[in-house]
Amino acid sequence: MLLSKRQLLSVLAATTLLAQALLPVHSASAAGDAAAFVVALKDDAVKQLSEANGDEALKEQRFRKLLNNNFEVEDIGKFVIGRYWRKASAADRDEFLKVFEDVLVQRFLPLFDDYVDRSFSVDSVRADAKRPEFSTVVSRVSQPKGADAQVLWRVRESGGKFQISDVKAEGISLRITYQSEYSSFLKNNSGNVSKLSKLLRRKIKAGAFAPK
Amino acid sequence: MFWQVLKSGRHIVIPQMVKLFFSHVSGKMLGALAILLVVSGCASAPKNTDDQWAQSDGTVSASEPSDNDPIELLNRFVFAFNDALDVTLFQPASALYRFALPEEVRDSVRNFMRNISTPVILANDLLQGEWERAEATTTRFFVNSTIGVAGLFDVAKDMGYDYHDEDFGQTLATYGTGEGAYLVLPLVGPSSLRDGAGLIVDSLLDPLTYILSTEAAIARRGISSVDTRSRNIELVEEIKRDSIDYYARVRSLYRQRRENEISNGVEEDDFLRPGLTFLEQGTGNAQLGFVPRTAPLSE
Repeated sequence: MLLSKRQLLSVLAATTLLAQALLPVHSASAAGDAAAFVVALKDDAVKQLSEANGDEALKEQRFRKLLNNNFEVEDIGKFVIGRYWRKASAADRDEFLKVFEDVLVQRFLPLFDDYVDRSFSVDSVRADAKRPEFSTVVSRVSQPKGADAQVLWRVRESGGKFQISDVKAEGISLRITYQSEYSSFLKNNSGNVSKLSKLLRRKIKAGAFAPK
Repeated sequence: MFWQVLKSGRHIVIPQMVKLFFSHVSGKMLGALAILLVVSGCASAPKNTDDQWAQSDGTVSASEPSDNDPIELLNRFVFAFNDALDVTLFQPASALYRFALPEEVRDSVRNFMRNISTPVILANDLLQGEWERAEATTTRFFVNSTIGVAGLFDVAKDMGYDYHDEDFGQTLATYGTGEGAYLVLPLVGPSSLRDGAGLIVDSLLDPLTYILSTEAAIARRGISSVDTRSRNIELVEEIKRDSIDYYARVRSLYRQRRENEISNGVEEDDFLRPGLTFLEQGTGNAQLGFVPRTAPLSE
């Protein structure tokens, strides 16, 4: 015998421990949770918005809270103005994040509002091969006319808490679309973030981001 | 889909150009084609084909991704020209078309146009080795051309053979050709070096290029463009209203749509979570806290 029984046991135990350590931290249950998180968020939004009984101010207040709790608003905001974020002053940054939050509220409140009379189902959940904290929840949303739309929710888990990092509808990513547009604007306006915020503010007042 | 707007009108001129070239200067034409192909072959491959979310995570690079738009000024000029043409001509024509004709007729127009594009789609299905899609395309053609009365009715769809689009730009992409610089082509709209070259090859692959008279070919592209545009009137309005840089927005949408089409909507890098992939319809997975995939969750 090369190894005694005790040695063998400890080798076995060590191997088991090592195998556990090597396994991805976020196993299948995290992915299931990511799907459950998206579904719960959608249900919660529908419930809260429909219970507001058409009171637009209340709806907005409730949706803003949902958005801030469940979307990486600040992270997305930083991302969409990219390298101009670093050069911007603290005041400009705050102003931009505030107005960007308003853009998201105006843009997404009506969409969640619409979910009241749409069917919503999760087809699958995908894990990111390189970044285990991310899962992609593939959902299908019925449309009033035509085929269902595929909506992908990019969910990040940190410390057991889920947040939506990006949304992709029919291949169009929220982050990339805003990022390419805002950085193009900033490039042509000598990186003036304050000017971007003012323009966005004007468009919000005109209701430009609300889908009609 | 917005992408169709971008494509609306993309085929209007090209076949005619190709025909003219072919009847008069076929040698030069082939030379030009060869150059385009070489250029598009040299175009750099996209950085993040292997990770569709990398750009959105900001993991590709700390700085903003390149616009890959070296002739932006010229592109913006052509874009403005196209937009003016759209506002004065295509949009009103599309609105009138939608107002004047019932939906069934408009659907038949689209079905007919799609059916006569079968050879190009089939050729590209085959060039990409997409046998199942090629089979669907072939079945669609025979079913719709016969039972569907010369393609006016999409009977095949009800039999489970859905329509899909393919073009040589996508074929090149599946061969690993990068998209190359962004281009806005007059009348055609957003494109790229690769997709522009693809357009030329597509019209060479299309038997109708050699059969139709000039007038018939223009009518075909015109009707097809108006029909597509008529399905996107509100969408385009919305995009115009809510963008702060319409040109940049359309450029980004074009690229994202293209990427999505090239991958046929499949994200290759992500893998399905074990245990969730093969859920049978109606079976929940309580252990994962997972909801049955077909259950409508809105109630």
